[in-house]
Amino acid sequence: MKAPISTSIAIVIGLIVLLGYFIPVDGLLRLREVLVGWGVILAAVALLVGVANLVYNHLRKIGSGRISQVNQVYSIVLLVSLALTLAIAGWYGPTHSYSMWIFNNIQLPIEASLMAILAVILVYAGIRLLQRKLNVRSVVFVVSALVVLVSTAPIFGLEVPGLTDFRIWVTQVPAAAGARGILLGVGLGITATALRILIGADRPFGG
Amino acid sequence: MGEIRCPMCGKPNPDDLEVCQFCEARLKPLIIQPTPDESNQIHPEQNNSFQEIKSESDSEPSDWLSGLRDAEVTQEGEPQGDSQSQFDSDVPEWLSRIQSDVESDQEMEEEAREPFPPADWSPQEGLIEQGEIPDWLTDLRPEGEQPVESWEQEESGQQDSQIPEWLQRLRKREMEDAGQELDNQLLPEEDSESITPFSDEQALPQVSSGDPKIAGSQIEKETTSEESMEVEVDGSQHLIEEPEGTIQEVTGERESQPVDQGESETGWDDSKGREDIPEWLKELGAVEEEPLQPDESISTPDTPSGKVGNVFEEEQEQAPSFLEEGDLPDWLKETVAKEEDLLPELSSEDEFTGEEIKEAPTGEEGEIEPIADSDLPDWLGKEYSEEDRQVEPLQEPELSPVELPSWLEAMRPVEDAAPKPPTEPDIPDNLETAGPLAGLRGVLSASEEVGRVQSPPAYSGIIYVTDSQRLHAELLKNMVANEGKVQPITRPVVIAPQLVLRWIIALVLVLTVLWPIVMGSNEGMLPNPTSEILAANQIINDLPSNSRVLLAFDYQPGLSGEMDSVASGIIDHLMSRGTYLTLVSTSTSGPMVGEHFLQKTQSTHEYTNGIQYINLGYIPGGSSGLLSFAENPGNTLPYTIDSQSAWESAGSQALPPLQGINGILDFSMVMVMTDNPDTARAWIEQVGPHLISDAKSIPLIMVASAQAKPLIQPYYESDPRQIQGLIGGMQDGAAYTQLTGMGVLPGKYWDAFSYGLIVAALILIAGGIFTTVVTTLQGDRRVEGQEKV
Repeated sequence: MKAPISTSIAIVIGLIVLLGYFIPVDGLLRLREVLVGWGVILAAVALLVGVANLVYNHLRKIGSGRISQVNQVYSIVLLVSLALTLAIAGWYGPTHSYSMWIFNNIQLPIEASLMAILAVILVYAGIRLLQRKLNVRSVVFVVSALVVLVSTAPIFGLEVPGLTDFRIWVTQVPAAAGARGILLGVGLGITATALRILIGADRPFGG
Repeated sequence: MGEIRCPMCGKPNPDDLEVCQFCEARLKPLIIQPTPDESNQIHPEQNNSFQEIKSESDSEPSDWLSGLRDAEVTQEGEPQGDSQSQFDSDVPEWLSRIQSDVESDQEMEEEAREPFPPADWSPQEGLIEQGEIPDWLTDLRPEGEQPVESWEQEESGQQDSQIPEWLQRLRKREMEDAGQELDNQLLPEEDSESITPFSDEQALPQVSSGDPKIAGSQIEKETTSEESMEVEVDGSQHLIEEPEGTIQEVTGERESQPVDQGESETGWDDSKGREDIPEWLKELGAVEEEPLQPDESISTPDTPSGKVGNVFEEEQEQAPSFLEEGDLPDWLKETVAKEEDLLPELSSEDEFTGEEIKEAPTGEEGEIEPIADSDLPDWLGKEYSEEDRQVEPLQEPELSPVELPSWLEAMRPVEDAAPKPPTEPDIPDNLETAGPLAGLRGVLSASEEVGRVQSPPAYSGIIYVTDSQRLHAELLKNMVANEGKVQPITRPVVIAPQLVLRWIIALVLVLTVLWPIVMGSNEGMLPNPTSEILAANQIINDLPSNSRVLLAFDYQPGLSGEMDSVASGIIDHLMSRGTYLTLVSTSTSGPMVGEHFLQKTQSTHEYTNGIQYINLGYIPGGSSGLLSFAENPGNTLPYTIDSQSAWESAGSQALPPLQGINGILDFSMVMVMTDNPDTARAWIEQVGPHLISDAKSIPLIMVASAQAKPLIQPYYESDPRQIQGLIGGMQDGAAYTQLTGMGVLPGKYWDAFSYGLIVAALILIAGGIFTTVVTTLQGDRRVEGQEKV
């Protein structure tokens, strides 16, 4: 074991937090609360460290000249935007009209446009799916998508009898079954990962 | 045109070039052609150079030298008729040279028959003064024979007057070398060594002295003196004793034939001349008749075959006849008698000791070392004898095939010099006779070694195959090529360029969505609410007035279009109920999204930040942050996003939305608006347990996007329910609006949403059918093509 101290600390804190769920004693709950509070602070600091790392990497790209001029321009734009946003939001506050102007007119339209493009791409992918892989599963997938799309909204104001019921059945039975399976798998994975960290087999913190 | 290989680089060159066209080395060495008289006197030290001279003289005799020879003949009083000149022009050069030698011999014999001195000769006309004759020759010669010597000097003087000085010097040197070589050839090893004491007193010391003039004159006189006669006779006697009877017979016959032919050609009676002239002059003439023979015999000094035996037989036949005829002058007879007395001593091997050999003043031992027959090339021994036999009809016209091609001439020295290099280190006085170093002694001869260097043989890389073999090779080649060839994949037909298709789809969808919004259409029927929508509506309806509600804006700005429409009716309902709102978010952009939502959708309610609602901002730490917030919200988010103290403390009062709130159980309702199922799960797992206590249970309502609803639906359908209400997607938002009549966005966007879904479904159907048909047709064509193949 390369870092026994850090591993021991992770295991001890994990056991204390876990025991707080099973043994709800006052002292243990307080200790768990303190440790979780430290974790939140460390997560906030990690966010700032991430911002600093982002700035450092882009400054290095600009200074080294190992990347193309276009990428250097992107890095410069990123750093300038970060500096302006940080300066405006830090000086005036995040809810100030200046800060909200940046959000409403730059960030939100850009991200919304990306999602709008996603709609077009999904339609195109549905067409290409039958062209590339014309098999039963592809047909089932396309038919299910068509049923949900058509049943979600009335066809030019007309309700097709049985179509809404079919959509409800699709979303409640097959889709819910698949979603529960996914959630069960996620829960089992999280439990296994937590146990590995508690026994020291997995050390994502290093060592 | 023949070729000559360059002795330096070994590359072929035209025979008319003087220097190599590749390395500019001289192809034709500067060789001085010896006169026929001089060529018979060969020094054994000049083996290599002499052969070079021979080959050069055989192949390309220079015209000027031939002219000189002709001039010699004509000056000696023998007029040449037209027939003779015509013959000279027809016969080969080497044959004409032999002929000229014979003619000169005949002239000499005629001269010898004349009384000495001639009638018209006077001492004043002699070209050589008496004082220039060496003493030893003067002593050997009787006084009565003085005219003979004067005659020789006269003739040599006539020649010297016509030949340049340097040529005379070279001739004398070659005569000296030839004489030395001839002595070694005529004598076996033991005999040649036995002669050493004899020659030590006269010839050898002078030869080794390095003075070519003295040595040349010494040998020249030696051939005309009694001493040389004795040495040659002695040598011939030894060779006769060797078992070479057949060769001796052949050479004996050949010895007489050229003379007869020369007689027939010139009309000169040779038998008379031989009877009249002295024997030593006959011998000299016999040697001159065959100028080529000493050349070959020199290369095989110890070989008792070929020319050596021939020369010895000539001497053997001439010597007895000479003695029997009794025509010798008195001084010569006396000399012969003295030499006969010395013969037993010189020829006896018992009297030779190592000391005598050591006493030799020069390194002559190495020169006369015999070369074994096995070391000699075959052509040197066998072909010489054959060539020697072919020399009999030398003067016949059909002897022209003797001329060797130039390339063969160029190659001969290379092979000829092979067995000779071991003898070269033993020759300290190697005299250079060709090239710019001509006349220098001790010069290392590089031409022979360089001449060996030849370019490696070029082997042809062409493989000759038959037609059937070529056909099979082609078949095998095609089989191997087809094995590695990739089968071409038929490219599917592209309906339209992808970019154009995407633009068409986008254009159709945008126009479909924009049209109802621009036109203000509100014709579509809003959907009916489901059970989870009704449960959420019931919870909100059950909220007391001025209740505190915790709102979590945990969706991304990109999905604000959908989420704002879904949540607008519910928030409007809450605000209509006069609730205080506390905004939090686990997303970094969540606080801004909340502010944007309130300003955009609920501006009509005139909610003021810090009064009707507060924004606590971002909850860091993900699930841990939610847990921390659930356990102690005041410690996790003590300030608002505007840095105001939100919670009640000792010195300050809490903001209105948080008045009376100490924990999460103090909120009346918790509503989470998210587009991410994981975020919904974190809220349900971390915060949900803290919303339930023994006294009360705080409802948790989820407002999700359409894509997240299926994954959140199980928490609503669980028993007990982990969430008490669920509104997912545009349809549920429209249904809630349909239920409560609150919210603007669902009614505004519902037509555009429904039209967009229908158009998207139609595009999928149309595109799916078209691509399916095209793919099926392509598959059929592919199958048909494969069947045809």
